[in-house]
Amino acid sequence: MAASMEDGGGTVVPWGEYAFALLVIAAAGLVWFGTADLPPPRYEPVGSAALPRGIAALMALLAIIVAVRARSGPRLPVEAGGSLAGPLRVALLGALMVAFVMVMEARHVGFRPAAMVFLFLTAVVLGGLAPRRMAGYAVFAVALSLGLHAVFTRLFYIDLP
Amino acid sequence: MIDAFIALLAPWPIFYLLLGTALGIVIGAIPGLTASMLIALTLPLTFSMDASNAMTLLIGEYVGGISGGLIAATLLRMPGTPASIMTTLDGFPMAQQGRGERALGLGIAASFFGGLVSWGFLAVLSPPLANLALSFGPWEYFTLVLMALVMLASLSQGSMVKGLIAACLGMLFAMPGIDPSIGQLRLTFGFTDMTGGLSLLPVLIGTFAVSQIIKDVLSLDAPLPRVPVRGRAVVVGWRDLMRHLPNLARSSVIGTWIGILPGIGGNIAAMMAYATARQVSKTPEKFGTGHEPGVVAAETANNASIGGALIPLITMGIPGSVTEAILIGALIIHNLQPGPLLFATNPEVAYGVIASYLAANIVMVVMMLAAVSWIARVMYLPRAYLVSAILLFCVVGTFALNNRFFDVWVMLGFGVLGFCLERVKVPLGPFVIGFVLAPIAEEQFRAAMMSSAGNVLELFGRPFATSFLAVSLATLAWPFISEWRRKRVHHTRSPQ
Repeated sequence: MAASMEDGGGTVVPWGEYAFALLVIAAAGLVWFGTADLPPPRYEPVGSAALPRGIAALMALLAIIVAVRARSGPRLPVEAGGSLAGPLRVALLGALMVAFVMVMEARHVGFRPAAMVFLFLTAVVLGGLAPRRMAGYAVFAVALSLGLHAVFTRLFYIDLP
Repeated sequence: MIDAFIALLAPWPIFYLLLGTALGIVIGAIPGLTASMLIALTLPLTFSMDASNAMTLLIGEYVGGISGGLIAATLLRMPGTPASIMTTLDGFPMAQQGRGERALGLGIAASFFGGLVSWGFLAVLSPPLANLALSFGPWEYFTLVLMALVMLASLSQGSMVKGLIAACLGMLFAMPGIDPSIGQLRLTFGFTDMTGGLSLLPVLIGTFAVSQIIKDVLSLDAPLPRVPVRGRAVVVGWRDLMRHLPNLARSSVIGTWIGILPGIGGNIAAMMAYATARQVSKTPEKFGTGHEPGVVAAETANNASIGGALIPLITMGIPGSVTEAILIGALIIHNLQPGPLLFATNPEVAYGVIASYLAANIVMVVMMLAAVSWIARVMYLPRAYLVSAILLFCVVGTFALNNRFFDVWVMLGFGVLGFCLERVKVPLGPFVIGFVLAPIAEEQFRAAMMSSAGNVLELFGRPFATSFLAVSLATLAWPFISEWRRKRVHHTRSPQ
């Protein structure tokens, strides 16, 4: 991803690098905060908090180096804009997956019907809406969801919702 | 060792070996799907298996997956797996010149040769190395883990600083839960589900499978070129073998050695072998134009690296590459402790890995020579079916671990995280290995500090620990030294 904005001079500002560095520093801060109420070591020289804090501090320092390098490094030329089809597909798939997991977690619908719908809709998102293919997707969705359910419950004795 | 081979001749081990190798070849042949992804997805299926059979299945997938990448690399100019990147340089031109079958035949033979040689190293070196590792104390283990992480972070593609950040991030994600040393709850932020920490399987499946799927879906519209394969791959004869023997031998050793080094994978092994083959060649200008030694070097080394990487895995519990980190997960899932004690407490598993590796190479060469044209057709399966099936399997496989949806959400979260990390050019290898090795590193470090009453300088009285630490520091310092030398040469050569 360009993850950056044109700075008016035909090159990009590496906002992605800055954002990454900031997130890493925030994560390090979160670890530091999360270990604040851990008790001090009693029977050993190093307690529960030592290693997480040490790693967090190192990580924050490295993130600062990334930010400094991004600031002083060469600016890259602006990339041509790409198609939205790919990101849209990913967003739709993500929504389908989240919905699938939420439906099963709520236990309103069992695994087999939820998986059939999920597989069918996912195949449509990836393969397109051609009527000839829809029948294939439907057969595939039914066969795979029933087959996977049988394999996990009958062969591996793992209960599915 | 002989018992391990005899045990492989039973019906179930043979079945798992054939299944694993076939699955690996097919998945390896499909661009965008990797051996690591397949192994991570198969882990849930191994819950009900015997540990030896599970490792046989996974080793078969590993060998098949790396070898299968040759097919897409040759016919589509797209590496089926990262380890086949260098094969595209000469394999695809050969296919375009109508010599696709010969390219495949050479690649398959080279893969087999590399696998055989590295198996020799694995079989000979593993038992004595495991004995040596038994003498390691906590300082040695801690510095060994540190060396593995630093080397992986430094030698992964991209920035070393980002590699180190990835390793740190991975280690931090392994910290939440109950502190194994004193049972103290930490970094759960009040979430009950976090009491047991983040399980390995959801992290692995999310990081490798889901993030890879996101990448594939983004580039789904790119059409695949079609170069037909007529009939079977050409079986390489004795004369061809003799002609390529120096390259085969050299690339096998390079691949095995690169595989042994912690954290470096088959793609680096293939690059180094390819670069060396070109350097010593009398016709270096032919490389990249459909030159047979290019295919031979790349495929020999990437398969040889598997055997090399298995050496630190089964002798010290240190992953030689990211895929070995997943194999460590398999051992942990089956309540086995990776490390030198594996040879003592579960020799059937340790020697089973060695025997399975050789058997998988033999099965691979037979399957690929017989069925390569059929396998090539798999590459053109509609992604709508493949991707949706894989996504469903990710959810089901992760849920099956503990029968709770928290793991599924963790998997999805790490899938997004893995994708985002790769977009900002943060390598995933150090991240995953950091996650896998963090508990070992912390346990050994704290044990070392307790045994030395907090005196870190005691480390320098232990030769192996000092050596590992020295290698870590040298690896960290090398990019700066190299840059300084380059600037000095440039300054000396530039006119006043």
